Amino acid sequence: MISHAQGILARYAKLGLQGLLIERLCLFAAITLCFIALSRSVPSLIWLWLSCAAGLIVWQVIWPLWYRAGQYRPLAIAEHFNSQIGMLEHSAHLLLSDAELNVLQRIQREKIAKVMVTAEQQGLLKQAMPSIRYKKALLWLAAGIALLLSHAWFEHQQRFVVESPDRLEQQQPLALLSMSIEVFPPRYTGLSPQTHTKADIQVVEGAKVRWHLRFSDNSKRYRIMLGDKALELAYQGDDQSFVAEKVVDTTGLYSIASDGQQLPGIYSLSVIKDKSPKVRLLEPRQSFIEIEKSGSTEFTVKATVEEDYGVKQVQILASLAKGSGEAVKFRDSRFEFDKVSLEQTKTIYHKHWDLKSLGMESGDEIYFTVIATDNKPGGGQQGRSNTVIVRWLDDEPEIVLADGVQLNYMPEYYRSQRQIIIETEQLIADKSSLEVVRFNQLSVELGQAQGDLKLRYGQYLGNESEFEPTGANTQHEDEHEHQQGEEKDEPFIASQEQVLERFTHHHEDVLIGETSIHNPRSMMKKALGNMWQAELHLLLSEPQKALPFAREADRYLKLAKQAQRIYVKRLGFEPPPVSLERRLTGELKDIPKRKVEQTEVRLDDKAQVVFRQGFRVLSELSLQDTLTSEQRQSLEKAKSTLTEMANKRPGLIRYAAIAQRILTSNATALSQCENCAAQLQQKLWQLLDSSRGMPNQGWQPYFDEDAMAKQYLQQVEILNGAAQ
Amino acid sequence: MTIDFSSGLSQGMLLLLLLSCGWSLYHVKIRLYQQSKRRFGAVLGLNLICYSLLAALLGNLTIYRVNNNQLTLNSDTPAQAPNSAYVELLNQASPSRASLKGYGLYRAQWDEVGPVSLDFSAPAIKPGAVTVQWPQVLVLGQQLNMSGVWHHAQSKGVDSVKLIDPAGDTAAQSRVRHGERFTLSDVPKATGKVVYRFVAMDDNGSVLADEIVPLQVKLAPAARVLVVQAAPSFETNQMKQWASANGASLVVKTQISKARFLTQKVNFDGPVQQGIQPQVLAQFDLMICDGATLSRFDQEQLAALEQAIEEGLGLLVLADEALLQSKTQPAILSAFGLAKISAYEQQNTTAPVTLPSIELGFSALPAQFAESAGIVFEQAQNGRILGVLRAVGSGKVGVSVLTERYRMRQNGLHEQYSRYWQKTFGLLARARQDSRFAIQQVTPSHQVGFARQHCILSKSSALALLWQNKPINLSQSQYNPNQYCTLVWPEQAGWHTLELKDIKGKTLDTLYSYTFSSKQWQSATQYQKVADTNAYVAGQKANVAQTKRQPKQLQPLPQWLYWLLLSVFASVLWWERRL
Repeated sequence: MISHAQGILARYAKLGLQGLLIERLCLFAAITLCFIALSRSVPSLIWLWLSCAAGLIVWQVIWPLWYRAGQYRPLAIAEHFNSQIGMLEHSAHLLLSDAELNVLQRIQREKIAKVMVTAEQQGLLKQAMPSIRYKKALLWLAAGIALLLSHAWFEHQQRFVVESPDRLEQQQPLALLSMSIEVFPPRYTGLSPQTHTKADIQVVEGAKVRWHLRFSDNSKRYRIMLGDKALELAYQGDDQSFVAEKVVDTTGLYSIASDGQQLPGIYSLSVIKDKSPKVRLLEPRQSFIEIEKSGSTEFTVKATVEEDYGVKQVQILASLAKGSGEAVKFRDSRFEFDKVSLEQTKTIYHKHWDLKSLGMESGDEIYFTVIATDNKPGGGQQGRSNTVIVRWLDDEPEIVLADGVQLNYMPEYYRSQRQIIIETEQLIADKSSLEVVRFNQLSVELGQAQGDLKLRYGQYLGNESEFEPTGANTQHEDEHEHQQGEEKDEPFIASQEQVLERFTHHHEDVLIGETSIHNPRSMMKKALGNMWQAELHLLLSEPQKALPFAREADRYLKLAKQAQRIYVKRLGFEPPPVSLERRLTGELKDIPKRKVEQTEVRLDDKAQVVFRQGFRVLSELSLQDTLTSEQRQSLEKAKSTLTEMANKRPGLIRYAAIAQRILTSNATALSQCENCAAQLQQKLWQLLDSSRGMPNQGWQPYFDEDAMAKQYLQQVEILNGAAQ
Repeated sequence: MTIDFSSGLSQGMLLLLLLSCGWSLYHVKIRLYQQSKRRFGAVLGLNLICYSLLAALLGNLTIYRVNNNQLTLNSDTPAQAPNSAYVELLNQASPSRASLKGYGLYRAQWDEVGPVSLDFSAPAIKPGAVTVQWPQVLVLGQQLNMSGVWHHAQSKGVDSVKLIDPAGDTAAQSRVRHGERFTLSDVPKATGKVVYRFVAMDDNGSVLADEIVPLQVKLAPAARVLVVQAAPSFETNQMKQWASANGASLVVKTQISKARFLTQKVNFDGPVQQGIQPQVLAQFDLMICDGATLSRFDQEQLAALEQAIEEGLGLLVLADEALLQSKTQPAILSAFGLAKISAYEQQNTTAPVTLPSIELGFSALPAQFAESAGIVFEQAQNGRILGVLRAVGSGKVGVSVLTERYRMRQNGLHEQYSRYWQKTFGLLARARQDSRFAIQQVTPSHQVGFARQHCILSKSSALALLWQNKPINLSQSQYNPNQYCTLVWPEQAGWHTLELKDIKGKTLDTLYSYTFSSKQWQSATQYQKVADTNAYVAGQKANVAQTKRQPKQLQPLPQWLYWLLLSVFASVLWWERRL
């Protein structure tokens, strides 16, 4: 019986402990669930949630388990029953006593064992057990589960919203997965097709470019934006790519767009123009040859041609001039070269001339130039050599001789400087009505004419290379045109003086130094320097830039001609003529007050202004800055100008692309291109002309330069020194 | 060892300590006196020491030791950190002697440090340019002149110094030996923040120095010019063509008879009244006048001209024979002391003069200026003074004896011609911008952590100055009421922006100021520090010679030492009780 009663106590102790454990585990679960829900909802406060959860677990789980576990030991349960059930007569603990019991205690234990069994049967023990707060614990657990579920449901709703097609489009931008570009150069170039994987490509003019693009979403429509034009990309199911092709003639930028959405990336498409053949005469080296009447009438012409892809035809265009002045007659003929040889890497064309076989007589002239035509479709491009003038002298002296030296001779062939200016002005005026190709061609022709004239004058001054500006084109090509009856520049007096000085000895001449403005030779040098620049700009199809140089050259030519008269003619104010009646009367009342109003502002070249502004904008922007509208405008202009210039200088398109990238990202900090903005800035600096001095307002800091301030400081220092 | 009892241990506290000490000693006597005299003595001593230390700590007593030890300081510290030697010297009350390692300190730092007898021997300075400087701000078209001295003590060869422009191209180049001065020049092409580079290489092509040369380039408004001349002149005509073609407004008044003038207006809007009156002159920034015209001005005209100059007008007088021969020169020119050179001296001075970097001979009037006539703004290569200017009120007056400047233009030297006139305009013409930053020279000592002064010239005090978009205070100069200055301490290397605004928030001027890191221009900063430190050492030696007997130097013992000793002695006492 006693052992049975002891078993009852042990069972109830175990039950109580289990109940406590379950209760606290429920609370633990509830706290954990709440923590998970809260930390997922507001992850930024995770440390707060974690500390709260830890605190609650210690307070509500660990501590109660530790503290209350002792309440469910069998002895503690027996004590508890003693206090709750009177029939146990405060003796239930005797059932668990291991110590020696006296007789009374043993009797009482046996009695209580029976009572215990009875109480158990009656359910008294169950009622007397310490209450386990299951309900509260379960309620907490339910709250935790509810919180977690509500969070999960909310997340589910969010996911549902994100995954809806419209939202997906906004959240997940379209991506260009791969790009392959096939380039098919024009057949006449003989170049083989190429495939590029980089978007920035360089192609030959007229090449067909085929883009193969793969995107993350094939359900869209895509376009390649080439400047203002859009090129639709067609979907090819075979390889799940989009394809478009175009024959490219101009340098530009392109990007990819889809249904109004611009994909990141600005790419450049540089077009390498097919250059005209360059013809150089190896023989004769002079541009003006004189053959005496009885001299040999035979000579050889050797020419070499440089061409990108292939030469179709090389001919000699010759004009035979008979007679002189108003009676001059011209006859044009074309000649083929006798033979072609290959020397090293150059192809040399040979032609043997005999003036007699051409039907020429003494006194006649022949002007010839070598013309090469390349294999470009549509007639090909032509390049010309210098024009060579061959003069077969007659018996009669046609030239004026002074001290045995030739004076005042200018062949009929040459355009005058004045004529070049007039035609350049006309070309600028006609620019809007001319096609670009024609405009460029006319400009180049004028450049060649300017080059001829420059060479002609250069002969009088010795080596032409003396005046060659750095980087100037040393190729000169001539255009043969008949300008009968046209005004010609007279040969300059400088040549007369210079040549005379070489062969004569003067004692009475006034010494004019090299730096004197009256020195015709010095003026001619300046004229030639300006001719170089004019020729350069004309050959670059920039007649606007060439015009000031051409005018300056003309001015110096005139000054050189007037050089001997300048000593008597004073420059400056010239009073109006006064009639004899009024002379020396001293009456000034009839002289009107004169007021002259002028506006003379030389505007900078537009591109220069744009580049200068672009440089300033880039220099003032830091990596963190975003562009203001004014800065955007400046960079837009710089980009447009660079793009325009890239048609002639394809390398510039790279910088136009950088400008566009800056505009697109609205900042100078570009991803994957840290130095791009700096590179653009450097290029703009290179493209800028050197700046000239300007008539500015005062800017010097007067306190630094102020004499008074300096004197004051000096006095202070002196006084300080004296005091020490 | 000296104890300063002046600091506070209250009498009550002292009494308490004495009683406590007495009680402790009494117990020590009872406990140990009979046992061991030696142990008793030791414990007694330890107790006394402990109580003394306690008294020192509680009463904050200062125990000094004689400071005759020598400090060893290192003046080279890592970038962006305060100079440890400088901080140490500042913290030392009065160190008697210090040995300084490294390159030393700047003059401004030495000014803050008290007198210290220094042992200083500078290490070798890195090869590079020293005493370099260049303008902080340039006007577009103005030439950048970067000057300095090449320092490469280890080499006897000739090195190459280059100025590299922002595009990476060589803008100027020179070959120099150690100790030689050089000037590298270029004309910036654009406005904004412009960064050149200074690169030096030896004969083998090894780079010895590669530093940046930052500056700001601004656009300045075009000037309004009045030319008054007694006769048509090729000089002014050429100047007019250049100035008008570049946007300047000009009015040219040419005398064609006694009372009649030919008036030419170029790019000039609005009426121009006749005569020389203050309201007429106020329309212009610069007046160019030949000597003949100026010498014919009556008193009223001269007074009007003087008033206009006081108010800011610039006057350039192109001296001529008429001016030299006039019996009385106008009062406005009296300070220049312009006088004709005697016939004897003329023989030596009639030779053509040449201007720096212009390969052309010019003629000049046979005239000379008085000594200290003013600031020389035109000087021939042979040293002859050709132009002098003086400040008169807010304006300036310049006199030039140079003639035939137009020959530069006629000989195709357009750039030199334009720069000549730009410089002259910049020096003399009125600055219409009422509030602007004063321009300084940049030196590599403008470094992170060092104070830098920026000044503003303004007639108005209603200004706001922003440093990196944060307002900072301005203080008016004591010497110049139109000058306001501020000090800034840049904490980061690189460009810093200063914006000058009026009270309405309108930007009046912007200055981009560059601050160098301590790694940049090391040779120049090292050289500067060594020079400043050597100057300081020399100054200190002179002071020591004057005052032979130095007062005894004392230095307080540190507090931590008291605590340490108290802990140790108290531990010994505790241990003794355990025995």
